[in-house]
Amino acid sequence: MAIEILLPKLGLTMDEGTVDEWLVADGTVITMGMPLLRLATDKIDVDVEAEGEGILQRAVPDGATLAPGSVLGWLLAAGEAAPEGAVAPVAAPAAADAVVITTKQGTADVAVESAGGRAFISPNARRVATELGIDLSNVVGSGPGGRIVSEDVEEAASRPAPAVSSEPTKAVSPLARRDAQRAGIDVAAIPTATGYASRADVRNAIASGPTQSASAAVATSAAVAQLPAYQETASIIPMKGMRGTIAARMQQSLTEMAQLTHGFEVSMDAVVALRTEMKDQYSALGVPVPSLNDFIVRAAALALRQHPILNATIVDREIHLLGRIHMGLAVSVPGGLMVPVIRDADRLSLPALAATTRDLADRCRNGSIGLDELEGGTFAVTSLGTYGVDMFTPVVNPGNVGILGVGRLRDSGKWEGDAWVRTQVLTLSLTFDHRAVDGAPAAEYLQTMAELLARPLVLVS
Amino acid sequence: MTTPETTTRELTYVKAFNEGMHQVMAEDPDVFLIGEDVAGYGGVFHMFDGLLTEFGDRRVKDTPIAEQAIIGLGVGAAARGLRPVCDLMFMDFVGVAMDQIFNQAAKMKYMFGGNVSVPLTITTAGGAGMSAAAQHSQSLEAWLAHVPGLKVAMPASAYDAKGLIVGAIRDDNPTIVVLNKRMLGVKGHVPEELYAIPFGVANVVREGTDVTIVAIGRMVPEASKAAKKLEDSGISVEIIDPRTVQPLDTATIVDSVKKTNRVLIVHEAVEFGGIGAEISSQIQEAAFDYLDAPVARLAAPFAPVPYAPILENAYVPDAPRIEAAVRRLLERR
Repeated sequence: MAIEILLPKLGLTMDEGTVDEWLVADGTVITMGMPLLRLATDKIDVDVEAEGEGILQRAVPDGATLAPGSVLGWLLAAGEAAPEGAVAPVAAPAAADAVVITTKQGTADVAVESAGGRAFISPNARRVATELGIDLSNVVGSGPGGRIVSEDVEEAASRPAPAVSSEPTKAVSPLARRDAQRAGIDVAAIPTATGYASRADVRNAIASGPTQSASAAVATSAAVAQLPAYQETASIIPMKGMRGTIAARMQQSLTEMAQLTHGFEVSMDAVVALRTEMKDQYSALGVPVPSLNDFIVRAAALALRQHPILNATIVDREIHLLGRIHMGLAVSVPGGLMVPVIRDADRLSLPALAATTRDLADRCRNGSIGLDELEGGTFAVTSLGTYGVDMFTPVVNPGNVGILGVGRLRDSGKWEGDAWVRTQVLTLSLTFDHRAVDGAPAAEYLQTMAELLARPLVLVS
Repeated sequence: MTTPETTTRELTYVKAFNEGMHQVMAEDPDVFLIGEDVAGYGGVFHMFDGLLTEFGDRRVKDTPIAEQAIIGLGVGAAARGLRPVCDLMFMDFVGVAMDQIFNQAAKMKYMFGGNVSVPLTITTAGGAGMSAAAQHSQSLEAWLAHVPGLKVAMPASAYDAKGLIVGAIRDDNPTIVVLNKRMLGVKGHVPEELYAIPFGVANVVREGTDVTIVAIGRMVPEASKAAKKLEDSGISVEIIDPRTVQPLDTATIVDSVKKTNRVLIVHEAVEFGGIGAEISSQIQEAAFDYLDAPVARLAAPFAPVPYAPILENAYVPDAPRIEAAVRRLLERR
């Protein structure tokens, strides 16, 4: 019996995944636990491993983007043929939240034949079939238990005559299909040399024109008109995966919220002095010294306790103050950024916080971070200080009401009596959602930050 | 006609109800109010705030804790031509006064050959969600709707809270208006003028094409929340609020089901023998040939309402569970 390889659902918010790359070729003998393919999701990339044994038969090509639960391929017994009706992406049940990698499952179609040959047909399907003159014995049921529902009848009625549908279907690369859709061209009508429609074939079809249907011609000219004649696209970065998530979240954030940013200069003299002492005394012990950023994250978490309005979320027309402080941490990775979450950040000691931060950042960069570690943040800290940025306008993560930006540690001066003395400062940039938080309470949060950073032994305790 | 769209004025559910009481008492000198703590305190849920001051203690009266006597007095006064409003505070207390409600108020017109009518209005507050425990949280509308001679309204918005209390008081037969405790502070558009919502006319809260949700009382806003989420998945939900469970506007429900072919009924009363069972039966009788899936119900389990908030939340249906139920109803391979 063929074992289905299903696209796993790796987290509550995952609604699609892309087969980045098959790691083994068709016909390979697969053993339990063997990596089959690399799967890209909007947050992370993972290897999908075999949960059974057999000969690999792939159902989808590299680059296919499908919903969790979709069949990606099969593990077959020797001499066994792949099940009919190859690529039919099935939406996963909405409530499914368990992590399912692959499931051993027969692929036999339930169809109409369920109970002793009795066809299950909804009363409405029967009525619609009578009205449309459809023979129900030719309709396959898609409802629970294979019940024929009215949609199946309507789809059967709208299907073209069998003579047309019996033409061999043409293989089309996903990018070619997208190009064709944009240009309003029917991929089935594109002439190909190989039987496989490539992007080049689509380009030729657009250029040659006559194969387009009349209605598509308008769409094509509109699509072409978008590009000025003196410019051509050098390369395309698809807004998918992490890029797509960032795009959607940031757009959502700035559309939904009333965001504004306070810039606030804080003295770092006390923290810098303490860190100097730590370096002196810890180096002999081999104990790592918390970074400047660790001090700030610790202070940010403690300050949230005193200003719970910033540790909140807006639900409909209510501001829900959240009981626990889960600190999101913006980590830059190639191609984008990730925001891993430190759970109960206010309850971690400074060394524990520093260790957690380092671990999360490392695992973001080497790709071993789990989806659940990227969810549930209640506030976030993002630092551009090492890039030389002083003040900026961070964008609040959707679901939060605030985010703290950390600027560059820089030399400054201040008057002490009549003397002009050197001091070290940095600028904190607090973006907040004005729907929930007003300017004054946001400023008070920053004042608390300044007080905590002026007394860093409190942060170490 | 007055509708929520004719105004931008917002009132809470309880204030809208209160305004209806004020206006209908000002309009009709035969209307009076009795009940526990309704006068000096304005009702435990402040449904009756300001009525004592405005209409005096001859028309707004506190009573002892004696529900049987409160309704008995109302039945007698109504039979003699007044329009009493009798408050029972918590719906759970109808049990104490049940003989007066279903043997006297509901039957009198019939027993006296139509020579007497009983324009009595009973007000009470039902529903769970406030950790008020098993004896102060029930939804017993199915009991009342079962008795010929009683009419039962379940306002699901501020607009309806005002319109249905006015409609109830003007009705010449016994009516029961069941407010929902969790909805008291919920705001909505409420016109200033006096208006009445007729009994037996459902409200199409939201139009849709893929599935019908028939929701009762507080489940209406929960269904609306679920419908918004489902809209994001391209699922178009029609929501019908019957407004009164007796008389029940079967025609509007059936028309909707004929359009969408799938229906979910949601109420916070216990599922077994709940009003959803009646609605379900009427749908399959009238629209069997239009159903693509069995009529689905989502309601409380067969158990008393728990006191612990976690258990109570699990007990009462909510938007996420409505959303999941709709998805199950629409499931296709």
